[in-house]
Amino acid sequence: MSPVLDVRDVSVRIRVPSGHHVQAVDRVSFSVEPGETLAIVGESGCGKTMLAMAVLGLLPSGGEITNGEVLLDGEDLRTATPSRLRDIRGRTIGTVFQEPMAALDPVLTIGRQIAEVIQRHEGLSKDAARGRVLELMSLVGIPDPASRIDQYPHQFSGGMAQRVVIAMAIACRPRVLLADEPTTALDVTIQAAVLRVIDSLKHQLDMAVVLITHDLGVVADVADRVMVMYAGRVVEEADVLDTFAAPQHQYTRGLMGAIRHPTRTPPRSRLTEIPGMVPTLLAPAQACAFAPRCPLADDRCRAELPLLGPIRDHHAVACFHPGVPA
Amino acid sequence: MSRYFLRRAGESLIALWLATIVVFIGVRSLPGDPAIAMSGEGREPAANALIRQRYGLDEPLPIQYLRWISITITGDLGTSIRTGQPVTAEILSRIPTTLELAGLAGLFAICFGLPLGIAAAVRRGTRLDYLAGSVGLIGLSIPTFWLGIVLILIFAVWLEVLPASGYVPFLEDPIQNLERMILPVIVLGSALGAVLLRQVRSGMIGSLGSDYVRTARAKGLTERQVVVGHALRNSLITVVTILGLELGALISGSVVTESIFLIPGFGRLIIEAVSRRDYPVIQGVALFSAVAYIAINFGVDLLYSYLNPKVRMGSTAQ
Amino acid sequence: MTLVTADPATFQGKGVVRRLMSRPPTAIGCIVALTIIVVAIAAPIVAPYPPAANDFDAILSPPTFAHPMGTDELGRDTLSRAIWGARASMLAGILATLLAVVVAVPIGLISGFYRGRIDGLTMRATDAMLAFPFLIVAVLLTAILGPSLQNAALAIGLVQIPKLIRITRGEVLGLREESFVQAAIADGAPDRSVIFRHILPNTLNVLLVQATVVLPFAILAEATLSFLGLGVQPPTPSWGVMLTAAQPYLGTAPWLAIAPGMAILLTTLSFNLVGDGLRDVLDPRLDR
Repeated sequence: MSPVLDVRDVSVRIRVPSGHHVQAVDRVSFSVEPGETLAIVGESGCGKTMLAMAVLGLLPSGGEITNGEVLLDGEDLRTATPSRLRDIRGRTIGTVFQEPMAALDPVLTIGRQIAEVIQRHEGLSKDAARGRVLELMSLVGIPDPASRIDQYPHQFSGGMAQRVVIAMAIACRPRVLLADEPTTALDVTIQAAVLRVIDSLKHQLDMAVVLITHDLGVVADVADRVMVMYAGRVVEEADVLDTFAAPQHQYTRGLMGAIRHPTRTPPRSRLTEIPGMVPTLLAPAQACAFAPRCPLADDRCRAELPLLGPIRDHHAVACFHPGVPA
Repeated sequence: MSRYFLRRAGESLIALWLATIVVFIGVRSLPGDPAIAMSGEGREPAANALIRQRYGLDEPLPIQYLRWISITITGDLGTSIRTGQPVTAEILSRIPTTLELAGLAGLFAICFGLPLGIAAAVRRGTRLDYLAGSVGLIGLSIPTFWLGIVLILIFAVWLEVLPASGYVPFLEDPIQNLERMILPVIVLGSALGAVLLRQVRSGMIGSLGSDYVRTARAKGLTERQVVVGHALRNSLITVVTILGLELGALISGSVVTESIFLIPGFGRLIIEAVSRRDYPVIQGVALFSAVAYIAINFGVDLLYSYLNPKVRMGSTAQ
Repeated sequence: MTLVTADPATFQGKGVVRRLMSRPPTAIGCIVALTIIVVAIAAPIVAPYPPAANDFDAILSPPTFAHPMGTDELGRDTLSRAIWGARASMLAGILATLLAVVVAVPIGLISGFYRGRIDGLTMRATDAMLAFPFLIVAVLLTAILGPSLQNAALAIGLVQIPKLIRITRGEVLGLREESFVQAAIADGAPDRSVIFRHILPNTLNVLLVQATVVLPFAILAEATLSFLGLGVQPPTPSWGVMLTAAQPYLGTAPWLAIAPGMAILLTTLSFNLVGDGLRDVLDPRLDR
């Protein structure tokens, strides 16, 4: 099956107020097929959100894609006109952001906000759209849609609000769903419910899902494949089971070690911390970005840039010492 | 909504009551015979004694206040020392003129401040933004009366295209009326327009950077839908609130504008009363302004609660 | 486990000044404003003529070398009078601002900190005070006390008090809930100490920004009041008074109106620029 979304060798550069440039994304590639969930994992500042914004064409002013292609069903979004991008957003690519309460306009009813997407892309009248909105609300699991459709965002709890956002994102049956930290702002108990919704919708609508998160628990729960990013670059990419069972990159290992696993983590052991801090992306060295924090780093790592290369079937790493136990 | 309404109504009434106390103290502090100050009459001993009795001037202060407020509340604000006419009637006759001036000035301020503020926010950082910002800053810093003088200088003295002053009632001659309103409206409306410009720009920048605007863009809405339907709608609430608060500034501004352009309105009445020591009129004017101002604020609060759903229905998350 | 109890009241001293001056408009505003203040203080030295000096040979003369801004109907040098006029404006502005701050801040602090009935009373009182437009207050006050610079400053200051109370109170209400204040209270610190050592320093930023808003307003207000005859009385020079005197001669001697007006505009503009800059630097979330 051919991928719906095929991002090839994309780099994103952002100009900061002081006049310098930050390399937010450095030659990243990934692709997603219908019905599969790709999780993009990394800490804050690793470029994953900028990557998503680049795909959508919503980079902040001062940001630009300096390299690569963003192919949506073969069409390069990088060369698309703003008008074409507006047509694609909401209709072919749906987006869910992190803070559901902030993502909703406080002065409009949620019914209006969901209907807006449908009216914009499918030209339906207000009344016709209303029926669709009610259906969508049921689809995402909002109880008693008829009584809630005319309510305002502040009358919704976080989890319910996020369902509204999801409803807006899938309203036009998009091919791709981009979810940027969709559960981070929610209570742990609600997180699972929201992930279920996304997962079930994925199957029902045969969507490709790109799930951006820093939470490996989420990854383990719903992802099919994982892409680990560090300092704007991809450091590892594999099927989810593979990644958890045998992480090849030291950073991935560090991330795994930083969470407790019910069976794998030895009891009463210390959680590993990754020493050091995420580098600023002002002038990325042509060397391994993780070297300063890596126990395996040697001179080659500090002088040469490791490229992403396959280790096994469906498993790629960007490291000169993959899989070496620390 | 009704609970909010009742609460605000109660607060407004209390404020109003406190304001009347302030006016009362002010009037009682005026130099001269309080009987004359409050009623405008009583120059002869016999009449004076009657007034002293009516206003309870020989009784303790709180009683005086009660008497005064009971007289005043019926609309009897005394008689103007200068004209001998009832103060209430005089004030009421001047109000329409000032209303016309203030209304047109408000319209001018909106027409000039709103679009510029939006444009500046949407095209932030561009030359248009700096231009709009400068216009706003100058409008804010320029003394109203000087602007009036300069405009008179340019348009009436040098170019001779507009009259320098004077007023013709609208019903008498609409064209002349409006012609003479042009400069005063610009003068009065500029400061307000400048404030509006800055507030709109500031509000819009905030809205445009918000998450819900980002979501709106991610939904593929047109720029117009995003800017007007979402960003502007949210900013308007703050803008309306601020406009309402600045309406009081319109009253102050009208004093100066009417003085320069010799428009016989409420504002000018104030100045005339002061220079002629027409205390009953001063009393009436102070009361009137307080009532009007509190009423306007109350109205603005109601409007705000109508526009802001959170206030309208109280927050109850489900 | 560490709670965030550190007191963030860092005024950032030198950093603030440097950042202020890095923006051209603000820097210009600062320089101009400082110049005007210096001129006002040094008026006797800077002004070419004393304000009341008559030169009957040069009545209503247009700008010449001897009188760079012309003379008025009594032969007085406009430039000198404009320089002396700066004193009245500065004085009124500073007096009014001081009055407003000294009265409003303590009330706002107490009202915001203790809440409850005191707060309710304060709110109603400020509502009542806010009910009077500035000019009405000025009119009433000068009717009672007589027109003068001090009374004008009094009126201007009075009018600013309710707004400042509201702003201080708002800040205090918010600060009260911050963890470092809660920690101090839980520690058993006396109210007085909490207010002065924790809450007050953190309100200074906002107050400073407000002061830069009040000052230009006060200067404009003083000029307006003098213009209307409710403030400084002639022959004391004040920009407003000069403008009143200039009105009858608009056609024949327009320069009489231009000098004082430009002076007011420059002063308010520069202070507004400084205020804007301060706001940008001290409170970046109020994005302007």
